[in-house]
Amino acid sequence: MSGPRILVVDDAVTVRAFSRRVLEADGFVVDEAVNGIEGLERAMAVPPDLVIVDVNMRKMDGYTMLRVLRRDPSLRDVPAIMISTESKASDREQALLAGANWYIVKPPRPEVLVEAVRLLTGCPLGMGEGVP
Amino acid sequence: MSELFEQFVVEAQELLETAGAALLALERDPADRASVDELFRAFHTLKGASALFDMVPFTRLVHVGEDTLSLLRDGRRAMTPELADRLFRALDQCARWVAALEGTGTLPADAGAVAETLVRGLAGGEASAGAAASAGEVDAFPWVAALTDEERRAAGGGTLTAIDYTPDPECFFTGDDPLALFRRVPDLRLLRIEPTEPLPPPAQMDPYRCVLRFRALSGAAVEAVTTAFRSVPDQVRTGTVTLAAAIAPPAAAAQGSLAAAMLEEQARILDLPGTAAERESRRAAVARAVTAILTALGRPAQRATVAAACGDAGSLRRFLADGPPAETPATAASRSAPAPRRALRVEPERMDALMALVGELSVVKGQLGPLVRRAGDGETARDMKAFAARLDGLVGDLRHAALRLRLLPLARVFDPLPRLVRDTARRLDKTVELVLDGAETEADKDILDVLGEPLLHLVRNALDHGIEAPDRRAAQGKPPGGTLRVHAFQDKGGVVVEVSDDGAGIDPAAMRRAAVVKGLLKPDAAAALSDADAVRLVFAPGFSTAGSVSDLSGRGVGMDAVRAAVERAGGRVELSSTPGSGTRVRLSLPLTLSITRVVVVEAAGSLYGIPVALVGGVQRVPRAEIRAVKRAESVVLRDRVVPLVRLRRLLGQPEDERAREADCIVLAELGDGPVAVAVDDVGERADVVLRPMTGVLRGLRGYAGTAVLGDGRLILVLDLRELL
Repeated sequence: MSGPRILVVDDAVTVRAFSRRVLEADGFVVDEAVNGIEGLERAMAVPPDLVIVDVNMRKMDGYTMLRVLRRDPSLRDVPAIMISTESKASDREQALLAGANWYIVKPPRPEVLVEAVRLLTGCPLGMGEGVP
Repeated sequence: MSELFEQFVVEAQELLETAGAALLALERDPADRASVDELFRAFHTLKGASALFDMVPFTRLVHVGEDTLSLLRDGRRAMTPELADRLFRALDQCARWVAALEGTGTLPADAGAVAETLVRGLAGGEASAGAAASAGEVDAFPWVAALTDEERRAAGGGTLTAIDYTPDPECFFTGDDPLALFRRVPDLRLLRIEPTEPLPPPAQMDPYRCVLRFRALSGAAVEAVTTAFRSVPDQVRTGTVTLAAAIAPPAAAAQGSLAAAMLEEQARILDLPGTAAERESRRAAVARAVTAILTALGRPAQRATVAAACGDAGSLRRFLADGPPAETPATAASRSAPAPRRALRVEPERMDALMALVGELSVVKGQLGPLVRRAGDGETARDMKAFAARLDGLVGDLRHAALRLRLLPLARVFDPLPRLVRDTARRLDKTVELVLDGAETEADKDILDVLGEPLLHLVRNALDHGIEAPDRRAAQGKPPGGTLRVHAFQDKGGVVVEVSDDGAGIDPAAMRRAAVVKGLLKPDAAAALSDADAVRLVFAPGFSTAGSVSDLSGRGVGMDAVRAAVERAGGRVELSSTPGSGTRVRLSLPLTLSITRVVVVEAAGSLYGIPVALVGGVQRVPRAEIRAVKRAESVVLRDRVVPLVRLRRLLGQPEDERAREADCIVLAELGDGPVAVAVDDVGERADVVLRPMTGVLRGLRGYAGTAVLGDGRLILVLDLRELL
């Protein structure tokens, strides 16, 4: 039985690889996309249990992607984390307005990322390895 | 993490190349916006990626590069050949660092100082304030701003004295011992020793020359520190710097209460401004997120219960503080009615496997019928017929029994309603009595999941837009308190839920006006709509999202979402409204999602299925009764003008050349009114197991899936809503 599916949308391959490694080690299934458009396509093809979206990406940025996601009847309730290098309160507000449920400043510490993902996908906390 | 590191090296090289090319283009044409964007993005991505590793000088340099480009992008700074030089130098340095990283895994020791020089160059006079020290201090002790987190932690925060000591290369001959000097510095927090120039190979090294630079931080005052360096005043600089404490890990204070912070954030999201549609979808996302968080915390809650509490920040906070709402007498009674029984927990996957097998069995059983018919009239054939009939009955019973295993009472979706109605009514200052009927009606768990949210929508809408405020009701001679009735029952092998209120109803004239204002219809088209069609506009996508619907005496928030959810599950939504006396919305859903009942139709020699739930009737219509305006055809059915479409045309097949006196019509009941679909022929009704389109079929639009008929023939099940 596979764990919840997380869609990581970021144009930096290193960031995607980081998230994949951290989340897969915890039993999550990770899907990737490099910009908002691809992110939406992936989400529509295989609905994720959570999306983690970068802000600044070419073609379609994270804000736009979240707005479109929130308008799609079948995807609008998918929990979303927005992740960005900006730590200002106004950036956080922007993310929430666009439809994010949570905001994480880059780079996240692995345990912070995992805990946030576990919470938003309903996986019990503090279980060490593996998603039940 | 080495694999990740390698990935970073490769990505950084690519990004630096991209950035170099973009910078070249930009230098040629300073107005080239695409190149500025490209360059900005490269720096931005490098910043984010490098921050994953401990390479503070690198991150700092690309961060300042990013800032510089953002000024350029916003026109607050102009591109000059000098600036291009500096950006090139920064890129070159990054490339050298990446090469070093690839070789040794770390940045060279002088990286911090090199970064500061380049940073100052990029800032170009306008001092860029470092993260750690004020602008003036950065200039005096640039390395302070480039300290690693670890060094920062070692130094501690607050006001410190920075020491920059570059001993005379001949100091060993003059009797100065730099290290001994530092031993005399009070409260020494940090000492960094760096070469002032690249070190020569050991063989060529002159051990009597000092090529080192010392940098240190002390907690003592400047005067106390300076005393220690009395003998070398010309070689040392000291000054006060303010160092932010080591960057606290985000939300470190809330360790373990990340969940609490997240829950509070969800509540806050509910009160964010936005259009009705935005707020509605945020509510849905928040409901799901909160349900997940509670589940993660070992406090599982029904999604629908949570959703009901997601009216605004206050109601969610109350819900989180109080726990799930107490059972209302109505639902408690409906649940306690049957004697307590022992329940058996079964994993959903096993249930799905059983249902799939039962589905397959039904299909295989269906293939027996044609075989038996072909067997003729002999004695064996008669036995076979009897046998087939018994098998038929047993498979039917089995299917029924398997289905029943998944059936749950609708009480599950009714439970959150009393609380929702109470909270919403209080918020709106309205008095509303909720009447729940048929909570014991059963449906498949999948269907209950589909039903949950639309039901909340409908109830919320009825309270928001349907039932009037007490004074307005009184003025119209109605009782001041409104009544909202939610009634569930089984009908035609499916389950029906009706939500009706005795509120203001929907005014067709207001709907027509709104459709014109929102640009959905031209004035003459709106005027031509019948009252029923005008009211049905609430289902039009874009109608409710256009905002300001709450000003109408109608409803609209998310009605297209309600319709979409119900129709995706093979069901349908009907709405009837009488201005002044109320509105009724009726959701009809199949009992289960596992088996779909379809009407088999034929077009251009192929078989297709149309879900029975969407079929309002099948009939033959004489050609003479079909009216055509250009290529648009219509027909009058049950006193209504219904648009007529031909399945062959929809599917891109050639027209039917046969001269026929009548057409076979399937009346499809879609949310926005019936549509007559002309087909070549109408066959039997069949229960099929719908398989999603996979492989090459996946990209095809307009089909819900494929299915195998009882006799083994393949049909494509149409998704009429998408086709039309």
